[in-house]
Formats: sequence, structure tokens, C-alpha cells
Amino acid sequence: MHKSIKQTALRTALLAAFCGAVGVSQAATIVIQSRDPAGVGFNDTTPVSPVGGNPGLTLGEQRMYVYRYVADIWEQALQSPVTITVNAGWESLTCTATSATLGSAGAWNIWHDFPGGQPGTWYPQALANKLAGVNLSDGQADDGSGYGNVDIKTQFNVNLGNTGCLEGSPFYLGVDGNAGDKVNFVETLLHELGHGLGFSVVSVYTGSVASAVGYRLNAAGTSYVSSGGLPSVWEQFMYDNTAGKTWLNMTSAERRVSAVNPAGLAWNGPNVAAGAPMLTAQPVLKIASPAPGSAGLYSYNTASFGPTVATGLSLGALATIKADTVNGQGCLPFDAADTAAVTGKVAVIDRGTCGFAVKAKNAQNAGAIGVIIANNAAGSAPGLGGTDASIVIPTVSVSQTDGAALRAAITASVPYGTRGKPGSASASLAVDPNRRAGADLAGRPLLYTPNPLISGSSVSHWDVSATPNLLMEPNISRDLGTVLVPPKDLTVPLLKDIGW
Amino acid sequence: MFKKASVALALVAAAASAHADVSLLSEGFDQVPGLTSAGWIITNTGTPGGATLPWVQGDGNIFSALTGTAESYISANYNNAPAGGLLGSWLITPVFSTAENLVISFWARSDILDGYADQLAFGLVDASGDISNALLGTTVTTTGAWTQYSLSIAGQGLGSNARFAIEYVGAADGANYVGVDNLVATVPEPSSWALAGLSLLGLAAIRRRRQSR
Repeated sequence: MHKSIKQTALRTALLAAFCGAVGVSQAATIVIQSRDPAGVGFNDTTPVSPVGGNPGLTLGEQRMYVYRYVADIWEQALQSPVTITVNAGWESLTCTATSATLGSAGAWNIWHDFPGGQPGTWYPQALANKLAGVNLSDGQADDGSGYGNVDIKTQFNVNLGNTGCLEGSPFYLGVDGNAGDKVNFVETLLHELGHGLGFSVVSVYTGSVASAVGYRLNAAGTSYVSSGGLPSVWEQFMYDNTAGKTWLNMTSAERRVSAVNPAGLAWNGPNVAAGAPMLTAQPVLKIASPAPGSAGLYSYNTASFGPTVATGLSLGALATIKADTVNGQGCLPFDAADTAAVTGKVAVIDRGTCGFAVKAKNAQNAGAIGVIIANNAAGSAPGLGGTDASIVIPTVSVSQTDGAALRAAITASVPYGTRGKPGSASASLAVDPNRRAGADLAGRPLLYTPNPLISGSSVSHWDVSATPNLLMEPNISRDLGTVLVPPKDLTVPLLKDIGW
Repeated sequence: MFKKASVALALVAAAASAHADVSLLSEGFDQVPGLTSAGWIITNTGTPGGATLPWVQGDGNIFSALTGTAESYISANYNNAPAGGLLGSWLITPVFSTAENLVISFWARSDILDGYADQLAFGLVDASGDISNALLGTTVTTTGAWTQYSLSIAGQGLGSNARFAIEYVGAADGANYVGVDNLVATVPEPSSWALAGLSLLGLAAIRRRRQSR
């Protein structure tokens, strides 16, 4: 699912201070404005049966019903004295038989230096209007598009589910959450409007030109610049644990590094911090060892083959096998020495050369009771793809660095055993009581920072490791609801941090 | 560390319920690396040059802890001293009050292998943890099954305190692997107090023996 952040029209505001103070808080008002031509999108008259609480009798009616339904959720979640205008259309977006761009949305206008905002800081228009207490676009001539002044522009894939476009997986237009194998449009739109309302770094470049990642938009709104641009309202809360500072205080080059710092970039706003305890304890691979300094908790990833693993599973004592730079470690049936080493134990095997399932099967045939694949390159623990229905032992993965630590623990443990049995390090799946799933060690929720960068998606989402799943992760999960506050979700707390 | 007032209150409760012992110290060795920061002392006075450090996390693949996860006990092994050397691996608790009558108990077991045996000596050390003042009154040879060992101490009056020490002793060449689990110090129910006087006499006798060494 691709959810790009688009922003094409930019305005700078130099309003006089006649704007009144923001009044008492009131629920936001959201207006949906269609730009679809006759017979298309919202105007599609194909007859349909009511579905999942959506009473519409044409495809177009049902689409608009969901828009209104989702807009109502956002109206209740936010306060603003200024009407929020969403321009919506159904268009032919990129798709193939097996993948599709579902849609995209973003703040259509962004502002800096308006009354009520932090000076020299870019804001999405809906938020800027709220803070200013007036519609900053009032009185400005339209750019000829008919939607030049709107707050948010959305477009969704009109062909989704048709032949050649993720066939069989159309949008589910019911509002009861029972989407089955279809794509839940309520959640998709809820997510996209979240971006448009301000859940996005918006004015810092995270696009496909690698050398420009981290550049800020200049004050004129005309180009991304290496230095001298204005920060986004997001940057004060984007805290990089490696650099030890926020994006606000970084150079463009430092932001470029931070944008691809996996599990290293966190949100440190106060409202999110207050809600972060809703995240559950972080699952970890726990290594127990008698050798002082060798016990530890490590991040792990899971495999698409073998039994499903869960917290509480005891894997067993660890063992290593010989390196094999020719065929790849674990790629051939184990010889007598390796078989003796892994029988009844968990084999630690380097990634590389052959498939993960091949290595796991060879280990299983040699009597191993589990497998830990260590990455053979920098980066986090890899997800283990592959299929082999005959594999019955659990397999997990760790990073290259952690794989080295596991091997060191095995070696260090040996002298701590008995005269008849060497000491051993053993592995189990546990939770780290000091860390929450999707947060850093200080409990700050993590932003999505995969390496390499995913253009338009990186940084402007929560990290995929968050548990429970959050609305503003880059993927729409089946267990999302329509509650946007803790203990279900952290969307509204983030928006409050930036001024909502 | 342990307030007099709370012990007194608890004893009132103990009188009402015969099984309501008051725990002054309770350690299940779930996290051995955290012990020293919690006031425990681990030290090795055996022959230098052993391949391992004394009193480390148990290895659940050798035997399982008495309670909790398999590795949640503390262990020492023959490699604490080199071949031909003497073991002297000390595990010393934090300071606790000896104002009231106490019972200190722990569980221990060995990995049994023909021709080898593991020995533990245990007793009190003063609050400073100075092992030259240790009174290790009892030495036991641990067995292949978790077994409880205990020491009763008569109350020594308001303000007195001490530590409890276990020393892994004997020739490294004759030793194998020993585990300790669930060490607790409790103020017993009143009916246990009669034992305390005997223990105190025993302690005095041991002091002489240690000093002659």
C-alpha cells in the first residue's frame, strides 16, 4: 500500500494581526467536495445492495456515505472554528494484478508565519486555520483547478478490484469493520485524512531523489534547499536516539541519516508520551547464559514456514556449525560433526546462498530442535520467507550483530558447565519489561524509518513494530477500529502535540 | 534497612496465624547479574587461575531451578579454581536485622558424577562483609536432588545486624557443579524460638575453629 504525501500548492501568509484569538474549542466541521465528472466515482450510478451499515443504493452513494462517515469521526476527534474542506476524487491510480496504489491524500496548502503559529515554521492548512482562527485562504483567487484553496486533496483508486487491478480485492464500503478479504475503505480513508490533517512531516523532503532527503522547503515554497529552509512543525518532536537531538536542530545531512535510522527515530511530544503506555511490552529473544555478560534480550523476526512462535516459547540450548563459504552455511545436509553439535539443540546459522527453509530443513534433519538465522549483512533481523510444510521446528532470525553476540555467548558458556556436560546458552521468547513494542528505550513511540528509504512513506508513519497496531502505521491492519485515542490509538495525541 | 517497628507489628500478626512467617530476605536468583547492585557480595578466595567466575546464573540445561524458569538459580563449578587448587567461592547476602530470632534457609543441589562431590559451608558474616570474621558453622555435601538447609539464629537485640554467607569449598579436583536457590531469612512463628539458643552456642564454637586456620 502506497500512501504518498502530496503537496503542490504552497502559500505564505503575511496576515496582519487583525485576526481574532481562537475562540472556545468547538468540534471541527468537515466539508467533502467531489471533483468527479458525471458517471464516475461519486457519480457512479451502478446499482449496489446496502452493505455493512452503508445504506447507499449506487456505488457512488456508498462511496460518499463512507466519506461522510469518516469525516464525522474526525469532526468529533478534533476542534477547530474553521471549516475543513476535503476535495475528493476517484481516479485511475497505478495498479497491477497483484498490487495497487489504494489512494493518497495530503495537506493541499501549507503555511508559515501566520497568527497563532510558531514563527518560521511550516503548518498544514487545516491546522494553520485552526490556530489562526480564520480561513487563511479566504479571499485568495483559485488557481483554476477549482480546488486551489482546499485544505486536503484526496484521490482513491477507482479501478481497485477490477481485472488487472488487485482483482478480487475491491474496497469494502461497509462501516461495520467486516471487510473480510476486501480492503477496508473506512480505515484507509481514516488513515489518509490523518495525513491531510497533519500526520506528516509535510515540508521536509523524503522523496526519491536520495541526495535531497532531509532538505527543507524554502520560505517561498518554491524549492527544497540544503540549508536555509523553514522547519516543519513536526521537527521539534522528531527525536533521533543516535544523534541525541531533534530534526529541528539538525542539518539536512543529519536528517537524511536520521530518516533511515531503523528504530532510532522517536516522537517526543508530551501528549504522545502520556499515551505511549498503551503499547504492550516488547517481545524479545531472551538468551540465558551462566557466563557473566552473555545473557541478553535481542530483537527477533519470524518465519513464514514452520510452527507459529509466540512469547513464552522455550527454544533450547544454542549450538553452532562450521562455516561454509563455498555452499553457504547450512545449505548442504549436515555432516557427522555438525549433526552431533546440533542434535537436541537450536542451530545458529548465517543467512546466505540458499533459502531460509533449506537451512531449517537441513538442521531439522540433523536433529536440531530450532533454528536461529543470523543476518549476513547490516540491518535488522530479516523476515524469513519461504515455504516447506515438512518443517516442524521453530525458526526465528536475529541481526548480524546479535548473531555474533549469540555465538560469543555459546563460547563463553562452555567452561561454566559440569565435568560431564559443557555449559550452554539457551534461548526463549519473552518480553522485555523495560521496553514497549514500537517505542524506544525511553518509551517514546518510534517513527517509520526503514533503510533504504521508502519514498513518501518513511518518517510520516508510526513504525510497524507498534503493538497494538496503530492507524498511522504504513499498513492497514485488520484489527484497527475507529477510536483515535489511547488505549486504542495514538493518532490524536500526535496531532495535539503539533497544535490541534 | 529493616525497621524494628514493622517486625514488631508483624509478630503480632504471626501470633494470630501460626504460618505467617515474616520474610526479611527472599531471593529466587532470577537475575544473578543484578545481585551485587542489590547489596550482595560475590568474591573468590580460592586458588587463583580458575577458568570461571564464581556464583553465576544457573544453566537450565544442566538442571532446572527449584522454582521459576529453568535457569533461575545461582551456580558455581569446579572451574572456579584451577586443577590442583582449592575452591573458595563466596556468596554473601545483603545486611539484614538480627534483632529478632531468625531462620535462614536455602536450597541446594549438585550435578552428580561418580568420584566427585560438591561442598558448601554456610553461616553468618558481619555487616561489613569482611570474610575474615565469618562464622561458617556448617559444611554440607550437596546431593543430586534439591535439598533445603537452614540456620536458626537467636535475636541479638535492637540495632544488631549481619549478613549470611555460603562458601563453595573443597579441592577443585574433587568438585563438579553446584546450584543454590530460594534463599530466605524469616522471623519464625513463636514455636520455633526454642531452637535459637542452640544455634548461638554452635556459632561461638565455630568462631574458634575458623580463627585457628
